[in-house]
Amino acid sequence: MHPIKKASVIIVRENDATGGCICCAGGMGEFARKDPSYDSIRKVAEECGKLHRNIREVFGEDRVEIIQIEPRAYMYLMPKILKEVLRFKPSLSLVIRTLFFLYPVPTVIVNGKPIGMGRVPSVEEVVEELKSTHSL
Amino acid sequence: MTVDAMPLVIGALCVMAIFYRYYHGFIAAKVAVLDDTRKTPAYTMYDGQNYYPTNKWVLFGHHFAAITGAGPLIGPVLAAQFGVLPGYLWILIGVVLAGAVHDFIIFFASVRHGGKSLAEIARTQISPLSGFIASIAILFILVVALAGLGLAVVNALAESPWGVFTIGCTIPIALFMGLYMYRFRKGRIAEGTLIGVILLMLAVIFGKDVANSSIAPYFTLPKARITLFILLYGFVASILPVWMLLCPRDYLSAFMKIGTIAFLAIGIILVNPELKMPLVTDYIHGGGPIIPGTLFPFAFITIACGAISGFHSLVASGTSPKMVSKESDIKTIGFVAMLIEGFIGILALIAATALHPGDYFAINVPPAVFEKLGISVVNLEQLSAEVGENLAGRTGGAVSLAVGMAQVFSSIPGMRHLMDYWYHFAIMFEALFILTTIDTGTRVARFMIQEFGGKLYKPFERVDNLPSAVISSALVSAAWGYFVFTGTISTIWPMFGTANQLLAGIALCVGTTVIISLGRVKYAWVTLVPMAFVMATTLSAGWMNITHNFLPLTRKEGHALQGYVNTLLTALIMVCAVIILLDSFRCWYRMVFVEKRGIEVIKGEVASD
Repeated sequence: MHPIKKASVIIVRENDATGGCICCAGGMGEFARKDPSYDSIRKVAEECGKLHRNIREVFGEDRVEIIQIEPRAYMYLMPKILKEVLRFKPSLSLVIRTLFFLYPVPTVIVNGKPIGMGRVPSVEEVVEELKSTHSL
Repeated sequence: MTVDAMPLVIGALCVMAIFYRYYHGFIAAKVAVLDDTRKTPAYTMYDGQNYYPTNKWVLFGHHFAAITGAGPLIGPVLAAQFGVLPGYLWILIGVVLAGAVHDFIIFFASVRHGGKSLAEIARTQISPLSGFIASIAILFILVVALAGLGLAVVNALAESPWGVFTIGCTIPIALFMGLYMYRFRKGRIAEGTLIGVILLMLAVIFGKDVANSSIAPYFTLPKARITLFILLYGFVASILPVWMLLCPRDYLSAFMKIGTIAFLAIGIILVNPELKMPLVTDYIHGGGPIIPGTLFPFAFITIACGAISGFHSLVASGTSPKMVSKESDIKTIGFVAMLIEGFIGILALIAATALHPGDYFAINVPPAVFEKLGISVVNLEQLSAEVGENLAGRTGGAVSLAVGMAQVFSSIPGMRHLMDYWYHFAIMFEALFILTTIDTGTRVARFMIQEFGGKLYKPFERVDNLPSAVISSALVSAAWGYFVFTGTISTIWPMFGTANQLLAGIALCVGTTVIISLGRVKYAWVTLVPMAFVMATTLSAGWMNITHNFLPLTRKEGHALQGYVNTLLTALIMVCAVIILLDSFRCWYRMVFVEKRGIEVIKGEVASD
C-alpha cells in the first residue's frame, strides 16, 4: 500500500531577519527586530506565524507539509510548485500564476493553488481549501 | 610552469567530497553526535514566525545566500601575488579543515543553545566578559570590513564614466523598485525584481554610450569624490527605511550573485583557461607590491572568507539555527554551504591567475610601483582597449577580477566581441553587492553603537530616535570612510583579513568550549587545531602589520595620524581576541581539571538550554 501523501501549504512571505547582505556586514539578524521600518514585514510574518500554528493545531504534524519561504527562493519554489501543480492539477490560469510568480506577497499556496494573494488568509480559508482538494 | 584550470577545479571538488564524506561525517557523528530524536529550537521554541521547522534545501539556500559575500571573490585575487599554489592550497585545506568545521560547530552550538547568537553563547559558555568583548570586536571588525570593500569599489569606479553611470543607476533603480514593490503594486516582488534586473542590464548596455557622449565628464570622477559619494550613500542608506533601498537592493544582489557565480563556474569549465601566473612567485619571501609581507602569515589573512570567515559565525548563530528541523540537517547546511564558498574562492583565483603576471600586477599596483618591479605587461593595452577603460593601476582586486571574469565569459564561442560589456557587467555585479554590504553593515554598526550608547544615556538606544540614528550613522560612516580616504588596499585589506580571521578564532574558541562542555574533550582538537592556527596567523599578522607597516607610517610626514589610528585599531582587535582566548583557557581548565568533564555527559545533561 502506498503511503498517503501529505497535503501541501507553502507560505510565501518576506523575512525581516534575513534582510541585507550578511557576510562582511553581519546581516540584520536580531537587529531587524529593533528597526521600525521592518514593522510591516514583521506584522505579516506574525500573521503567517499565527496561520502556521493554527494549521498545525488543526492537522497536526503528519498530514500537512507547511513550508514558509521567502520570495527570493525561486530556485527551490519553481520545481516545488511544478511538482504540486502536476499532482493537484489546479486550473491552467492558476498554474501559470503560481509557476511564474504572478502574485503579490504574502501568498499562501495550498496544493498548488494560490489563495489570499497579497494578504494572509484566515485558517478557515486554508482548511476549506485543504479539505476540498485533499479530502482531509 | 603553468597549469590549466580544469585539474585544479576537479581536484578541489574531489578533495571537498572526500573530506565531507569522511572527516565531516566523523565530526557530525563522533564530536557533535547529531541526534535526530532531539528536538531543535524550531520545535522547542516554535512560534511559526522566527522559530519553525524548515525544509533542509530551503534553509540551505538561505544559509548559503547569507554567507556568500564579496570576501571570497576579492581575497583570493589579491593573494594571487604569491602565485597560484599558495592561494589554492590554503583555500582547499582551510575550507575543509577550518572554515567548514567553524561554520558547522557554531551552527550546532547555537542549535543546542536555543538558537542563541555567538555573543550570547560566549556569554553563557565562557563568561559575560567574553560576550561583551565579542560584541566590541564585531563592531570594530565591521568598520574595517566596510573600509576594505568600500576601497575596492572606489578604485574600480575612479575615472570610469561607464562604471560610475552603471553603479549610479543602481540607486534610482533600487528606489524605484522599493516604491513599486512596497507602495504602487504592493507585494509584487517578482515583478519589481524583474523590472529591476532589466533596468540594470540596460544601465550596463547604455553605460557605453554615456561614456562616449558629451556628458561623460560628469561621470568621470576622481577617487576622492567617489569615496565621498559612497560615504554619503552609506550614511543616508543606513537611516532610510529598509523598504526604500536595502530590501530592493537585496533582491537584486541575491539574483545577480547566484546567476553570475553559476555562469562563472560554467564558463571556467567550458573554457578551461590556462593559468599564466607561476605556481609560486618570489613574493612568498616578502616584498610583494600588493600585500606587503611574507607568505606566512599574510597569504592566510588575505584570502579571508574563501577559507574561513568569522562573519559566518554570525549567520550560523543567527536565523539558520532557529529554523533547522532536525540535527542531521546541520551537517549538510553547515559544511556544504562553506565548501561551496571555498569553491567560489577557487573560481575567483582562477579568473585572476588566468591573466599574465605582468598584466595582473600592472592592474593591481600603482604605476609608479609597477615600474620598479621590472615586469613587462603582455596584453594590458589590448585588454584596456577591449574593455574600454585604462586598466593600469586599478588596485583593490575588483578590477582584475572583473577583467579575469570578462576574459572567461568572452572566451565562450560567440562572445568575444562583448568583452567590454562583460567587464562592466562584472564591475556592476561586484559593486552591487558591496554597496548592499555597506548599506547593511553601516546600519548594523549604527544599531550596535546605539546599543552601547544606551548604556550611558538611555534614550540613545531607541532606534527610531532620529538624532541618535543620525549621530551613530555619522560616526560609523566617518570611521570606515576615514580608512578609505587615507588608506590603500595594502594597508586596509590585511587589517580586514586579520579582523575577520580573529573573529573566526573567537568563534572557534567558543566552539571548543562547547565541545568540552559536552564532555568530549578528547575530540576538542577538531576546533582547537584550526583555532590555534588561525589565532597564531592572525595575531602574528596583526603584530607584523603594527611593527612593519603602521608604526613606520607614523614616522612618515603627513601619515602620522593614519599610522596611529591603524595601530590602535589593530591592537584593540588583537587585545579583544587575546582576552577571549585567556578567558577560554580559564574556562577549559575549570571544565577539564576541576569539573572533570573528560567523559561524555549523559544525554539531557548537555548544556543545551
